Amino acid sequence: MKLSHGSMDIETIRTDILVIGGGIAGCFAAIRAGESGMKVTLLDKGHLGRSGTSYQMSGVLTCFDPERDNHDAWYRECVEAGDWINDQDCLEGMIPETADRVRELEAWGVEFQKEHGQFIRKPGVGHVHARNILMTKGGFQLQSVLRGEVHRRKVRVLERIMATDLLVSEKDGRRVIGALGFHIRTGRFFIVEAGATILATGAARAIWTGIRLPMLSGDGNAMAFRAGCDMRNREFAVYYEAPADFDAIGPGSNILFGEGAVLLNGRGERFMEKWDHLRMERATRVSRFMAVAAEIEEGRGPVYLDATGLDEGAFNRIEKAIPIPMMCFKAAGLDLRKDRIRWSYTLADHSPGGVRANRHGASSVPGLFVAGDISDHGTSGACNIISHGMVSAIEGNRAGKAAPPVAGEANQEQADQNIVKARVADLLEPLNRENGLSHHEVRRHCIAIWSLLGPRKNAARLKAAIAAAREIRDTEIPRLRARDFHELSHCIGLGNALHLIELYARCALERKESRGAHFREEYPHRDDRHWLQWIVVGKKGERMDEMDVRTEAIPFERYPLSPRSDGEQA
Amino acid sequence: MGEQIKRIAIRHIDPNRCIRCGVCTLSCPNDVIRMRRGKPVIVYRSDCSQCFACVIDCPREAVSLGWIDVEDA
Repeated sequence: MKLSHGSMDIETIRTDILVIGGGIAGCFAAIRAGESGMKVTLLDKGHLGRSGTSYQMSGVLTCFDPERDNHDAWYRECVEAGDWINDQDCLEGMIPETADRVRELEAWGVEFQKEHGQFIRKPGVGHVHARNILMTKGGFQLQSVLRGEVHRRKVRVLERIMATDLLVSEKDGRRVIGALGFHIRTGRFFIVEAGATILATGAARAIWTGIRLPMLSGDGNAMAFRAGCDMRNREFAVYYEAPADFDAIGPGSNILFGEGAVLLNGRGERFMEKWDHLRMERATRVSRFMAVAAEIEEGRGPVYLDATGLDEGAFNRIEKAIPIPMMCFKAAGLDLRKDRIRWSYTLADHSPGGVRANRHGASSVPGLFVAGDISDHGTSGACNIISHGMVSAIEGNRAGKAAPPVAGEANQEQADQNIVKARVADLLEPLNRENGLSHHEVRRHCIAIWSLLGPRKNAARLKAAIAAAREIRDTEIPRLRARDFHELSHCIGLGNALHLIELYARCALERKESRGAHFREEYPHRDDRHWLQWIVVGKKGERMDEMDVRTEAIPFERYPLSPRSDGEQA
Repeated sequence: MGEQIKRIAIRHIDPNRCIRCGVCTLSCPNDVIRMRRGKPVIVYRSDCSQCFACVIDCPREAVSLGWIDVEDA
């Protein structure tokens, strides 16, 4: 397919607020922004309600109950799970907000499992007490409801649009004034000019196995970096445990372990006691994947998830809360009631780490907000114990409230057509190659890099990961060939995903200690004397690999909790 | 072109059950299914992420997933 500059047909859309991404965070942002009366446009790479990870989420939401829960104890648990690097400015108010969002979701029609009119509550991962409530039809009903609420607020929804770039003001060289994207079926390009933009593109999942989602290629991360955003906590890439023999997008750890499923090693022994004797399999994600990895790497594998001891009541709750993983187990020929499932671990980007945001979701770049897994989840620190879906709902809600006043004050600026046209020509290059590499082949090479990134990291492997990512970037990405716009979206996405690998590795090299999901073999201990700091990374020059990696002391002096006042090592 | 690996993925859309409503081509987050000459066709099978959106949304239970050889990655 030949496309020349001359035939380029780009449609321009003007809106007050642009939301990119239609998962829980994007929907909440669009709903709140829509309530302001402003014109809101939402771009989704898939189909709103069925895209990203939200609709496949484990059907649990962490929810505060003021009658039963002790707020201060819960706050402390969040900070301890986050290994003290939480941004407590963001965490403030978060716990009661969980109940606000649940109230809202229920009023809109999301169904929850109840007994005698009360929410059924179960502990989730990282929880000592029962703090999760269960949905009756998993994430897909939740996302169907959110789709309806977005439409009810007259949000203009454009689907199958891959956003490729944030557009930056030519006047001040900083402000984000909208985005560029294209329809992955028709190839039509769109410029969306907006007073404020909310990025909610989710986690990257395109280049690893186990919980693979090829459309989630870290586009938001790369766009934000190019636009000049600071990133924070990128070294805390979290691994997920997942089935070893097949992919399952959200395998349902929260409810499976919350209901009492256990992990067994090859000798048939439970092994979580060594890692968390109190919570056992409900340990934080970090402890659990470290434990699973240790059993496998130290020769005590394979590891199995065993739910065979659960009663029928538990299976009923599980089937309602995670219908999609249950279908997946069935398609794999496995029955949770009878079969153990071989369990392993894989890297996931649902990590604390991403585009730096303040408590309102504002990034370091004017006009740009972030919400959901693309943000650095300042609330979570090194590990979250409030479910991802709930964190995303709260962040979307906050950004959706904060963006309208910013959009109201913005002087809408038009994108420079010449710059856009040059960029579009670059993006289309893979379509013009008669011969070249398929995205499948290059993706396979990208996937191979992840094993260098962890879970146990060392400088040699991290440097090798950077070198491997650059090698692919320099020698393979320029040879990618797309036969249509669908394939083009993957070709562009792979470049974005490679950038993420480099970000992870550069930040992981910088943190010379072990904390949360970040484990450095050379520095196996947490070092509070030197490393109660955030690692912040941003753009340095024009090239994507020119990175300004710096540290920033965490401002404990104004936080409610500090490790120093706590009598911990300082 | 690429290697084949075994993966759980969309396997079949039963033409006897399918009413050609096209909802699967809307639902699929990975753009795996497209309408071709009025009926849904599995075009990019290796992009299937076994999310079951097509299965859940199909009004006639026409779509099935299972173990199948797909082009890798």
